[in-house]
Amino acid sequence: MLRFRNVLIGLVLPACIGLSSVQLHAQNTVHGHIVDALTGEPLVSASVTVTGSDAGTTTDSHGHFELVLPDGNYRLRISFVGYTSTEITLSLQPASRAPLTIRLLPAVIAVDEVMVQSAAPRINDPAASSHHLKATEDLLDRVPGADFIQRANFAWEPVVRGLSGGQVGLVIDGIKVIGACVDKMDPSSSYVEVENLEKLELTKGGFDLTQSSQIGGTINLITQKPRFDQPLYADAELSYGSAAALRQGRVFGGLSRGNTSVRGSFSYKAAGNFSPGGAEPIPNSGFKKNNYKFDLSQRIGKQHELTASYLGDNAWDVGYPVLLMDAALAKAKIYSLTHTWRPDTHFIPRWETKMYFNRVDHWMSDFKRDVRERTVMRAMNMPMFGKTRTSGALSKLELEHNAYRLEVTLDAYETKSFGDMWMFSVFENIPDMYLLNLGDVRVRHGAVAADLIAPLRAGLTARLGLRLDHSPRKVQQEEAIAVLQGRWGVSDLAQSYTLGNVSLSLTQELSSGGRLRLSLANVGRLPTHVENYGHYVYNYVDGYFYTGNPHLKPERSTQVELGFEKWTSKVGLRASIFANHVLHYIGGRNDADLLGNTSALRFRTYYNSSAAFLAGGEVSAVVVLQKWLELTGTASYTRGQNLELDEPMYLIPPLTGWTSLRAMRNKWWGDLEARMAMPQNRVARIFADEDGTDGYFIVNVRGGRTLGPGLDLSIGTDNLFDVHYHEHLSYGNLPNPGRNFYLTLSYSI
Amino acid sequence: MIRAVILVMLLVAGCAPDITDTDFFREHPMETDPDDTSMELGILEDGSLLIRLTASDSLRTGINTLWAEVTADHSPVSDADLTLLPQWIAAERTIVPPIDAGKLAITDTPGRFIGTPLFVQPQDERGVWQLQIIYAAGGKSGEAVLPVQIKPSLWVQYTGEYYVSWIQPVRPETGLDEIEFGLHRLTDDGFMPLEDATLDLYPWMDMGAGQGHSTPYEAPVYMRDGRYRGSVNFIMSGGWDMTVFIQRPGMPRDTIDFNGFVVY
Repeated sequence: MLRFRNVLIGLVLPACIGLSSVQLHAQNTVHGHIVDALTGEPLVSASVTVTGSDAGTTTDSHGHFELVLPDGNYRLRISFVGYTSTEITLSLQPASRAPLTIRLLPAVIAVDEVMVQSAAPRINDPAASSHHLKATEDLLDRVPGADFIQRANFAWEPVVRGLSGGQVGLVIDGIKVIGACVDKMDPSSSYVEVENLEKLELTKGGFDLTQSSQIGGTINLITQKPRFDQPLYADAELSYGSAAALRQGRVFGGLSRGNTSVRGSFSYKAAGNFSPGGAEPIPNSGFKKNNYKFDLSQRIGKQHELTASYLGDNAWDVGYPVLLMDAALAKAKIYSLTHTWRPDTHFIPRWETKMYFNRVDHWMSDFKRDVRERTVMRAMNMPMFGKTRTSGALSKLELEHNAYRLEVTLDAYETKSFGDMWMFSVFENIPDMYLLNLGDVRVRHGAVAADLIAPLRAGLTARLGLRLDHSPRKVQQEEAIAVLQGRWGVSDLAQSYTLGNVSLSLTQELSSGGRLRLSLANVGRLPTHVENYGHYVYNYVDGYFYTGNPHLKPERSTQVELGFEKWTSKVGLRASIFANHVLHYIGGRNDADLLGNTSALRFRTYYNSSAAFLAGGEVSAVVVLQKWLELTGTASYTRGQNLELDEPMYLIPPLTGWTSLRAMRNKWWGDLEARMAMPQNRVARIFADEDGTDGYFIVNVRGGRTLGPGLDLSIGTDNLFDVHYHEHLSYGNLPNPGRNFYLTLSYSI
Repeated sequence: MIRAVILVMLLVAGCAPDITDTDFFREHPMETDPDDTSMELGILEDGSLLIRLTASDSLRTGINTLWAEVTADHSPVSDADLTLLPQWIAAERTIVPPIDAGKLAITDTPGRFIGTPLFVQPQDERGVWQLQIIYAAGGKSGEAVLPVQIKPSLWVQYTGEYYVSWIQPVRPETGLDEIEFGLHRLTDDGFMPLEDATLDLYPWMDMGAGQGHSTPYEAPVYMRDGRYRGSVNFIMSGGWDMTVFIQRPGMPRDTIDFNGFVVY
């Protein structure tokens, strides 16, 4: 704690000193209208936020908004459910009072876009809440259709409409960060802490082809960048949570001068063993983590901007109580250099090009475990190491002509991966064993994508997505080559994939004021490097050791989605149903040539099963009861069937929902929230010996108050009734935390 | 101010524990240098010609890797013709195993040759071993005999009737290994090859605590001179066991084990 105080003093004190030299600025009123770009109709309850700050408002029943801001330069972000968000730059001076007219294009496909740190938390989804976010997962967890595979009280892996892993495209500012742990204990979503998250974009299904080739969904974590609108700003926060004795501190700040702006952040978390509902703390379930980010932006003239970014994350002593071992240390370093060009022409609104490099290292060990008692790999220690190095370039060119909009993406990257494991028996007569899980696998990937939005006729808009991927890959280390050559009886293990993807969405404005959306896609996803070249990789879902298959075909998905949206000043509603037929679904087949002598030592190879089928839907709604009171609710359901085995797919979440009553006054806010899940008894018995899960109902309550200028206090209790429960997607039925009382104190300047 | 903020950020960034002091990510503990020539077996001198025989360790039953360094007038000789013949001396008779240990092959090092003679059984009260060296190098030629001590090892197993020799791989490595066994029977005429056996295998990694696993293999089939060749795909390095099942027409099945050999 002493160390953290020093950090606070280091950042906040200079900031306070700097404040004394900041002059007070005159106040300006920014006002205008937000309208549908195609119809000219005013958009009611659209959000207008000042990027990087808490300032914001929403439009009234005439689509009108008004904001009071000091003199200065600002970037306004305008968002509305079902529309493509846009940003404009404002230079406020005493003479500038002209009203603005901002036109939003229909989004055509459904994007759950959730802003962070905004006075208007509900930007594009009724379920979104910006209150008490202890991790990025809290934000994503509230989006219907998004779930998590939980392995510990740390770093959950996103699941979208029942699909996960390589089936979901997860990027950070468009950057590919490939996990180093072959057992997937290091999802890259854990590298973006809340203080660095500006926005989370989630597209369910394979309809967004601009980020990656995938069949489940796309998650883009958009991070905060330096601001030019304030010469100096800083924010510090301390919080404590009782269920795991979670101590958490964050600080971020930045300053700008002329054409240069910097922003930095640092956060630290330490959690002890957490207590599930009505039970004693679970041993070995704590973690420690720090995270830091530094960005430097330089404007070059009026049209160009260069931003250098560095994001680092360290986690250590991460306990995985239901797994064989714990993460001793996980390190990620992400570097990028971004050039943004905003030419002074309507034809090219923006062209952004990014070069990046990231390195991820992951160590796991079980030296703190009693290895003599476990059933799998009994009486041996098994330290593991994995690393990835990814470098790439991403360029996005936006073209606009009248109501037509075209985005062209060039996406290229290379990932090198390595993973190995030692096995040290506790018995002296058993020699040490060494296993190469990934022997210097190199994956190269290049893609070109085009995304076109075009009005077809009055009220009908089309969006066409095309993407072509090419990915050569090979394993390079001799030992790994020898093992895989022996397993598959071939000398050439190199593989090269070419994959075409197409999606089409049509949006029809209804005379009743709602919008109907039909989306179709025929898309694919490439096997992961582990599915191609992994060796003896333990899968905690089915309890088998897997060997990669270099001959895997890409999964091929044909999808359809029907959506409906309506948004008035009193009621907002989004609903969608979908169906997804997956051909060449990648699963596991028993390896008859590789036999173990215990039921816990079993082997499989990856293979393409015939097909799988998923269907389901999501609904979310908000009802404004009073100007200061609203009721929200969401529900989502997915049904998955493995058509080859004629049984349910594994790790499919049950019917799940949130409902929340939210109040917000000038100086205080409060939420009463309930989360519920029905039992899940559709489980994969043949493939994974999966067990069913009981339903649950938990209640959370929280509130906050502004104590003074910049000083906020929030308190709350999650799982108020201390219910003992676990999610269906929880490994080993690891229970969720029980009653958790928390308190957060934050200060902003 | 911007410089100060950058400095502070760099100071606070990157704090994480150092776990490099945990030694489990060390080099392969079983790794040995196959080119180790630390054991000198003997030196043959013929005028200015010098042949130095070395090995990495004491000679043992089974295949042994030997090196011969040949110099004439202190200069390496790479065109030497060297043959090694293991000879079993029992009851004043010399029995030459019918294993083609034969000629030594030149290596990448000038004047350095490699050979892999097979010794089928250890030295004991029944007999001793010697190496007959036939050489032609540096304008000289001749023969010499070098007594050698052969210790027992796991690489040759005796069923009570047959000698089962692990011939290759000399240094098993992870991945697909060709595996070759020699089957011999000691008769009054010497070590006679067995030609009519059917072999099967069962490779096994004992992981302790009653658990372990096999690995894919192809059973050896008869080649020539009592040799049987198959393949094993060792999926990981460490200590392995190999059971060999020997079936001869009209005979009960024999089983022998090569236990505890290291796969690198």
